[in-house]
Amino acid sequence: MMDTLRSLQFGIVVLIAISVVAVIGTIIPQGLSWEFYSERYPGAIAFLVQVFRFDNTYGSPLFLGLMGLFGLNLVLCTLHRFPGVWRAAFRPDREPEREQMTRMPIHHSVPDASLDEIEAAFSRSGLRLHRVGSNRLYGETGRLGHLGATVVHVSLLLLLAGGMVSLITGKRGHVVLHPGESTALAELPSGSKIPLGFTIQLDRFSVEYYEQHPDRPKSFTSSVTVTPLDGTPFTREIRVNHPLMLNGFTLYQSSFGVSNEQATASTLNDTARVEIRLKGAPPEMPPITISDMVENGVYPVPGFGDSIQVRLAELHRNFRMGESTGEANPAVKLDVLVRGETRWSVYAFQKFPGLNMPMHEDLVLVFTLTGFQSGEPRGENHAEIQYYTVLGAVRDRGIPLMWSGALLMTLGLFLSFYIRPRRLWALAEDGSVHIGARAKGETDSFRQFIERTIDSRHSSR
Amino acid sequence: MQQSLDVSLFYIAFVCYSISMLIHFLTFWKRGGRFATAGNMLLLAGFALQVAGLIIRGVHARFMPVTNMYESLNFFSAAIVLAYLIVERKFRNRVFGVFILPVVFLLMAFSSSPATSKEVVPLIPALQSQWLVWHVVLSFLGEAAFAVAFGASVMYLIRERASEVSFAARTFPDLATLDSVTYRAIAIGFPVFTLGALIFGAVWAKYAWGSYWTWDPKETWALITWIVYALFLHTRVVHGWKGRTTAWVSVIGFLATLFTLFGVNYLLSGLHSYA
Ligand code: HEM
Repeated sequence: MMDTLRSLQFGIVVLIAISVVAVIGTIIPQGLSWEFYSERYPGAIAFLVQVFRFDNTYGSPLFLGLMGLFGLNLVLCTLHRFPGVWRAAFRPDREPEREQMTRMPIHHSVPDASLDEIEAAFSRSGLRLHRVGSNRLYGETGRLGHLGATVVHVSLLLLLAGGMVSLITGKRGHVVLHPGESTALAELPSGSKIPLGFTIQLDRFSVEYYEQHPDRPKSFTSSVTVTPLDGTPFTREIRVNHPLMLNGFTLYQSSFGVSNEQATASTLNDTARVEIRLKGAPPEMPPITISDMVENGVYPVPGFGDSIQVRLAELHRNFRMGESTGEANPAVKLDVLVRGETRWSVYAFQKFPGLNMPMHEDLVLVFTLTGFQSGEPRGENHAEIQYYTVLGAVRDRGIPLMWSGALLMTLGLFLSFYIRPRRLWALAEDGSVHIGARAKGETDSFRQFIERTIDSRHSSR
Repeated sequence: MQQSLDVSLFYIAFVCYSISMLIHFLTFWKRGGRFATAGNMLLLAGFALQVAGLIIRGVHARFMPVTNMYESLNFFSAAIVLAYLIVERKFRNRVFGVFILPVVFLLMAFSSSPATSKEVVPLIPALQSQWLVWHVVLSFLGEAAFAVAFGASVMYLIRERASEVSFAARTFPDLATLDSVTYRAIAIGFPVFTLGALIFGAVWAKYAWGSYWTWDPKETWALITWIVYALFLHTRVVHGWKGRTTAWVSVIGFLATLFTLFGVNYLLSGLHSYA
């Protein structure tokens, strides 16, 4: 039993199983309601989805069990092989029997030659040469290369452990701040709050658009003041790709909203239509239209049971985009809820049908806002637009393990493939020198190298 | 629509590659000869034009041209051609071209088709990141090595079945060489792919979306590709599997690579991983 558990064949089978389950997780839509799966798949498949929890493949007992098995197999395999690997790297046999040398992948007998000649010939070969006893020579290079595989395997165990810590302790919430507001708490999807360990205040939020492409956002920037519990406050800009990492938290620019300039649903008239269809939803499903929506009302998206819903978060008579003209620019903001949790906010603009600002590239809401009566454009003194920022807050204690695992993996791969351990033994016996040699992964080129060095030994005398 | 210079350069490079591929088909078994050298020259010319196109586009967009499908396919094709040129110089046998250049041809055909937008579009915030550049560039360099391994392992599988007197037996390198080319290509590509696709991909995701891994289909398929190539390295170590089995694993690995690139975007339904 133990032999199979630590065998490479078993490891290969486990890896194949992990790959198969992982593939299933990319084919079956994740995180949706049973109603959706039973509607969309025939009975047998819907049953399998339920039994093996393919609705949440990468958190399912099956998948986590396989990962655990993989880790166990790797630990046992690495421990079992380690003594041999250590010996191979640092305790080589410097005096192999002559008969053993002939069985090596590379071996030569050099008639009428002396050990000194051979040593001289290989002196510039990059091999570290040692005389052993009176008639033996031993040379080696790249011995760390032997450890490559083991270092990679240990790094994998670190990554596995890190992944587990992330899975167990990981928290993912958000922080919503209007200009001037500050908080020391992040809100989780469940509604509960967790302390950040510092206070963060939004000084200003700005959206920048490309000059030639007024509808393409170039950057969203939250200028914040951060006050660590036991430190001096500092100001900082949080932008997409430039998160704030403090006290185990990563605060990243997730999305933004507009707090003023809102029309109420009651002023809506029946000609306004937003057709909402999620990419991937079955085409025959009718789109929902905005006229039957009330502000902050939540509506199921056709084709996804009740697991995906849309909330009409904001209705804008005139959504100001940077310094756009006074002309009215009606827009709606829609929050997309997955299992009741707001995942993304998206804007639709009557004048820019193509533009919807999804916050996740997989989520493409195909919708157009038409016929929205925006009433007379505002007078001269329209107030400056009021943005508020939505920062994603992620705390993940597994990060240190992941960083060290990744670094060790890089080192291990470098040792495995870019460091070529080479070994050479020479034995002088009755006037000729017998050579045995071995190289990991490139025996032929080492053999040619040795032959060339032996042939050219006369010139180097 | 006034076609920008880089798009024209990519089209010309595509033509050069196609003609060079045909010449390879017709002359790969002959040693040298005017026709054969013309094939090589065309390939080099195509490569130079493509690299020039990438540079011009990069300068124009003021960013490394790997942020959309069109640019990525041109970068990937150039990387494979470079990998092939290295193999061809080392082994002096253009038969590898017969199996590697068709991959380049398909990639370039797809990238030149209307399916990809050629426009230089300013980047949405998430794509403005150096991590993204390292993620994409190293992934494609690793996958270019995998493309070479793919060619060599297809040749291995053909040569293994071909009778000793067949055309393939006379023109292909021997099985041991084909197996060693496959291994060496993967040995070079695997660390680069690991660093690029997985490690830098995770770092970019961490900075852009707060978490290093979200089991998004694209990430998952990159991991599956990575596992298949890890399986290649390990099936080699198991007695008796080296050779045919490992050649099949290498072929499957490259199919997984192509699926990661194309399949995930076009085949899998949009809304799929929101666990
Ligand atoms: C995805 C997971 C894995 C990765 C990335 C990995 C990586 C590696 C690498 C890079 C090598 C060196 C190959 C070479 O030098 O050509 C190797 C060798 C090896 N691995 Fe793994 N490995 C993995 C899983 C496993 C598992 C589960 C086992 C279970 C027993 C295992 C056992 C071995 C053995 C016995 C060797 C040969 C030792 C040697 O060539 O020095 N590996 N592995």
